[in-house]
Amino acid sequence: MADSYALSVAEAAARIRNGNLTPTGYAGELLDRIDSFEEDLQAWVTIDREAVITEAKERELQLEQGSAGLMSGVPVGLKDIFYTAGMKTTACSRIYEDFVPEYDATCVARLREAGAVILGKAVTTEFATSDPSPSRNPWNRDHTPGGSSSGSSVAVAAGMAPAALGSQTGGSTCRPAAYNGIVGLKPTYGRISRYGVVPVSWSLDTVGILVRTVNDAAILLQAMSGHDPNDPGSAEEAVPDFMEEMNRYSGPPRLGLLKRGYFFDRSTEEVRRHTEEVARRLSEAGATVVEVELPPSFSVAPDVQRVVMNVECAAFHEEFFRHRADEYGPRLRANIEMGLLIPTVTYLQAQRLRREFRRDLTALAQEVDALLMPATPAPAPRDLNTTGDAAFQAPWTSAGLPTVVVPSGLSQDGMPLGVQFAAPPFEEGQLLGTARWCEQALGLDLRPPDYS
Amino acid sequence: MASDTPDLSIEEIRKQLEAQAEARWGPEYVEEHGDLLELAASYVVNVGNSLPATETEPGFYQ
Repeated sequence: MADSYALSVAEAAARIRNGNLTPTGYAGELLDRIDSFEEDLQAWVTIDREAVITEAKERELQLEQGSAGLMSGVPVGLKDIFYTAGMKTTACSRIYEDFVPEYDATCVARLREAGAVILGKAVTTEFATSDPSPSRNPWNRDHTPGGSSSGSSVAVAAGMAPAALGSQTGGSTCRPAAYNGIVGLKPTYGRISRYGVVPVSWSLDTVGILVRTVNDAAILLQAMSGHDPNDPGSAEEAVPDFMEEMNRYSGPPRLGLLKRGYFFDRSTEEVRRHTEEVARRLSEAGATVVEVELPPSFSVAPDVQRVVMNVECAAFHEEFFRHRADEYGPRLRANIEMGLLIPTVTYLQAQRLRREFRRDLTALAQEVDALLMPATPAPAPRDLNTTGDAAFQAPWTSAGLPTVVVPSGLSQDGMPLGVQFAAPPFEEGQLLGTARWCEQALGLDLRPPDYS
Repeated sequence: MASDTPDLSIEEIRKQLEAQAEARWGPEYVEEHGDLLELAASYVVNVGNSLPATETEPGFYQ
């Protein structure tokens, strides 16, 4: 029997329901792992051991009473931008260092309703932007874990939590997932409420899911999805049974490989060769792989994302920034300053262009079960002064299409590599069903050697 | 994509941004943040030069 720290969400929930694992025992083992590895990896901001055990005991009581949710007794880490009632939510910033919310973010409340136990608050880069955090990559501590959901990704990769929430405004969920060898899901914009989440940019921010299997991504998505009138960007789209939807895509998929242009041009030779090899292996396993091309409107997508993000970020921070600019990290400060300078008309034209490439990318994604591309231009850089390159995520975030990153191998220097899939808006069942087929066809079980 | 408006000049846009930055944060800022201003100007120019031609999208809501 696997140590419980290595269990997936689905496995842990099943064992808890069957009485083969107790929520308190499971939470206790994860807390012990956090104690063992935290000095090395610096993944957490706040852990309240007593609160975790109290909540785990509540789940045990609920199970005894015959009430079992989708995630009963399964611990989940939260990036420290998600409001937690009575627990600090600092955004790893000086501005919010003493902020204690009075309520849970909607997605956190929904996780608790599904039976999850909140394990603690994970490190984020300051305000979920680009100044590197102290978190270290468990595959090699000299390499960046990426960002901004750095602590959440590290915690899941190192077996300190089976799942964690991140967020994505540019590439902050799928990029660290790739760098740490785990699965990262960025759902469709509007699928999961952001009420009670410290914003970066309201028309881009998307709650992200960090887990170790595609199946687990679907479980958390199911638990959190649905309209929330408290979030103006929340979609009214019906929430399907994602597992059922995934099962409709359980056969060999039709994949659109984005081989020409943007993604391959920006990748290292090693990543290009690796992605072609992944496509070949999937094809040998039965997938139909066709080459597809990005629409011309895509060319401005990265710049549009930067314009929108910086202007909206400046709007959110303007009041704090006027009086406390010196308390911001240099990169966030530069983002805000750029946002303050960009003309209003440019911002509005950028939003107009988003509509165009969202329409064109949706049409492209509709040609296949999923689009396939490298997850990042290169593996996690050996540089702790960067969070890496979000170029392969930002356009999808800007278009609002759902994407998922799946680990697909190791680089020559032993760092994880991944591939990214994209699907039309609100087709997460199709996306995850396709990604699960590919995950199984690749048959990998990547774990950082020093933490396994 | 094509635009039926004349191409924006990056130098012109950069000068406008420099003037704004100087007014907000002083001349030292402009001297120290040349890269940031250059990048911002490139975003403004790229967005401005990527707008659809009016025969493709004459109205904002199409």
